[in-house]
Formats: sequence, C-alpha cells, structure tokens
Amino acid sequence: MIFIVGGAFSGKRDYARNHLGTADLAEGTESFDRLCEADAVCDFQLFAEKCVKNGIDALAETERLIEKNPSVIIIADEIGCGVVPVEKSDRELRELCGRLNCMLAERADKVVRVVCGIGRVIK
Amino acid sequence: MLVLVIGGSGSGKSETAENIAVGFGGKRTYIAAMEPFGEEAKARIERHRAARCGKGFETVERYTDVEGLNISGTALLECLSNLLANEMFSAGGAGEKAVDAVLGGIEHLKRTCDNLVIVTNEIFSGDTKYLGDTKKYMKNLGYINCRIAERADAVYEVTCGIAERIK
Repeated sequence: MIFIVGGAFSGKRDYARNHLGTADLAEGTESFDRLCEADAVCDFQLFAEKCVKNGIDALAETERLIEKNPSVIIIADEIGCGVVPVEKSDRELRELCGRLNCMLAERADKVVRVVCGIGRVIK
Repeated sequence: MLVLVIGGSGSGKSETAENIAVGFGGKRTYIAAMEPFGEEAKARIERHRAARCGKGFETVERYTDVEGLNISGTALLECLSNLLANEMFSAGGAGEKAVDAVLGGIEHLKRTCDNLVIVTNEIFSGDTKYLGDTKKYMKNLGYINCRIAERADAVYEVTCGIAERIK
C-alpha cells in the first residue's frame, strides 16, 4: 500500500497518475466493493466521514480495505493544520482523519507528501 | 531562473524569497500585490517594507494585470494569494479569467526578467469544508501553484523560518 498525503488541491491525484502510473482512481465515497478493486482511493477523508455517518468504525473498515486491496494507493487531504472547528462533530472527524493518516502511514510501504504537485517520499 | 517559495502565514517565506532575490544580484524589483485595505493590511505592508529596507529593492505596487508591467533584472512577486484574490474579487480584476490572468502575468515576467522569485501561501491543510467562492479560490490557487512549480527551476517550502528546497 502506498499513502499519498498533502493539502487540498496540491496535485496529489496527478502525482499518482504521473509518477505511480495509476489509471483507476476511485472516490472515497464510492462503495466498499469498488474501493477493493480500484488502483487508488482518493479523498480518503470522505471515506472516514462516510463511515462515521453510517456508524461504522473507520479504523477497522480501513484495515479491512487494506486487507482486501493490499496494493491500493490511498490519497488523503491533510485537514489538521487549520483552526479547531467550532462544531463538535467536525472536531471529532478532524481528529479521526489525523489518526487514520497515522495508521495509514504506519501500514504503508511508502508515504509521499505532496506540495505544489511535488512529491517527497517521507517513508 | 524561476523560483517558487511556499509557506504558511508568518513562516518566514518572504525573508527567504528576499534573500534568494538578493542572491541573484543586479537590479531588483519588488512587486507588491497586497492592496492596503484597512489598518491591518497597512501595518503588514509597513512591516514588509521595513524588512526589505536596505536590500536594494525598488517597490512596484501592482494589484492586478501583472502582464502590463515592464520590468527587467530580478523580480520578486509577493504574493500569489493576494494577486489571485484581487483578480478574482476586485472590481478591476479579471473575474472568471483570473487564473489565466495570473499565469499569463507570470509568463510575461518570466520573459522580461532574468530572474523571477514568486511567493505563495500554504492555505490547503486546514478544513476542506469551504464552499462557494472560498473553495473556488483554493482550487484556483492550488492549480496555479502546481503549474508554476512545474515550470520552476527551484521550489522552496518554508517552515518556522527554515527553507527546504523541494525541487
């Protein structure tokens, strides 16, 4: 599994396409079965949000996804660097996304951080 | 030489960019894109002006239409986030064609100047639940950053005053 992280609109998908040869990019909001067969899952923070909405443990669901699709590329927005959100649910989601990113980075064979479309392998 | 410098608010990206521009030698022009709206902006402009003092820059205030500038030597454009906001939202801006106006302006400066140093802002790692104009602005700035970084000879990311060359 490869994990790509970076700010919104920082060129993460293009990095996956151009540097990792990814052709089939799924959105984090698509069905679990779809994510299990995709080359890459984008907007992983939305996968987490969807899990929370459906009362599913996002960490466990992510484990399950990696198990079923061990070569998947997971792409997530870094959303933890701004001001603490006003809404409790937003705070919880932000925290969860941070924890998920840590877990993904730990599991990944390779972690790439993208800034201005430039990827740096940080693991 | 085209150099892009990115960093968060107060990260020291301006100083990094100034020092890079000074390193190029020759005639130096500072293109200031921030409109002095209100006391906060005026104070910020003064702080930047004082920091630049003695570094040999001639300051040109330009809030939109960078393509209309006639500059040679080394230029430092500060910053893309202001320039894009002006092009998108100011009365004299390019509106829907803001992205083309910004990128066209940079192409123009790259042609007329020996060296161009551009400062941009890291605004992309906070909440993504922005809507409407704010989201569009973020998307546009992200796109512009990527296009300039592609063309740049060097890209620096500045954190806590420490510049890392990432390209």
